[in-house]
Amino acid sequence: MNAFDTLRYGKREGIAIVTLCRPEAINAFNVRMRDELAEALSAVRDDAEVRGLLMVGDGERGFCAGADLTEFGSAPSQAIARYVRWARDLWSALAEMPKPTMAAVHGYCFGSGLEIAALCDLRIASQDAVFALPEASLGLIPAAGGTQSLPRIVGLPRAMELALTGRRMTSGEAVRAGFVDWLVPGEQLHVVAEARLRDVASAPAEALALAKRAVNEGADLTLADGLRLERRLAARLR
Amino acid sequence: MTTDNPNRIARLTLGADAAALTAALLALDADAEARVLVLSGDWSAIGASLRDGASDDPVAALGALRIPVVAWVDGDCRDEALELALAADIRIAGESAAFRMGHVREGRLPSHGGTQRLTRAVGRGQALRLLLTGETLDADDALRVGLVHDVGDLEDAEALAVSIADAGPIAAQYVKEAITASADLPLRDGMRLEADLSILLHSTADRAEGLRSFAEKRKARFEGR
Repeated sequence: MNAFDTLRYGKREGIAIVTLCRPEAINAFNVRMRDELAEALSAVRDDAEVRGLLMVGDGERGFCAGADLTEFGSAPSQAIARYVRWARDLWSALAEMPKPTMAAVHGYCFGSGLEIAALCDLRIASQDAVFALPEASLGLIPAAGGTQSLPRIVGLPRAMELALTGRRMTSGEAVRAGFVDWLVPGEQLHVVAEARLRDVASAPAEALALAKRAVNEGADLTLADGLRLERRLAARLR
Repeated sequence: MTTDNPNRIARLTLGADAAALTAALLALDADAEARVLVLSGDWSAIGASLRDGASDDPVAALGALRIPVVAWVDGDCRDEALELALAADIRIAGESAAFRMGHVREGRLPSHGGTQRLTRAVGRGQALRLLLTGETLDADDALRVGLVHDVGDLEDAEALAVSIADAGPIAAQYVKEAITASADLPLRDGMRLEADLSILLHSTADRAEGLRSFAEKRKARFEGR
């Protein structure tokens, strides 16, 4: 599994650790990383030994500085760009991962980096983490689900303000906003994250998977339909 | 209504004339130059005018505006005035702001989106509390429950508007559209809308200019096309 250029994939006692690994570019998300992350997510989903996914960023400077803009504009046409977006829908694959997922964020967490973290179930960060959605200031919009995932976590008004202004959100504000679940000293980030996630993942795997489905799918349903879904899923565990 | 052309910031000062407000908002939506609206003024007076049942509905016109809206709210902002403020995208409260959704205590029901937009802004629990108790929130309370984004003066709201006006104008409108839709769409449908809007931006000169400006380490000059 370590035939990746832009990622490292490791497993330790039931936890898969995917490290975004282009530290020379603050782990900027590029086409290669997109394809490799899609592959890694399939492996996480299908590997019965893996009970949880931890996403981290390599290097001192940050988790992920956003999309690698040097590759933008390389799509041959809008029709092809749209086809490619759905040919391998890795953002839905991350959102719908049937195992608990956690992002451990340090330093820069901009654009796609923030969006990757927002698609995880849990977020832990070091004090130096700083978050922003700078897309609109470049004539772009977030395109890894950020316009949908962020308001579901921090609410409509704050998501709107962050995405429209592109301003930076500190780790402290991110905790107050409910975006970051835990703040830890930087040198402990990855150790604490792995321990927390291992603790979460020690619950029965099927209960975890079904709880995620009930919450995520239920959020898109009427209350009556959500209650029916919950009863149906709960019956599987009896 | 004034539009500040170098920054392309439109400003509307609220008074006691709801019909004039509607007309100004409709005109603004047709103004290709404006990139962001700052709404401020006498919230109490516009609220009274709205309550008097003006036939034009400026709240609907504000909610339908394509460009982002920053509302600076100071003084008394209750009932219909609060419903108007809720149709803005970002709310900044002045130090002496007082918010109240008092319809129910008077045997009335909000009819300009108060039950719907309040719930989407602050969540079901806080929305029910504010609607059923009719309690008054000061600026700090409003910040705590998420009804306003920040507490500050008009200059703070202006500074926020400047940073929005610096963004790509079409991108800013699409961000507003996608995030607003997130409250109404299942995640998958919302992601589809986001992807379509993102790819539609490939056709704009602004996107190319944004990428060029990044490569050249300079500020982008967006033209809204």
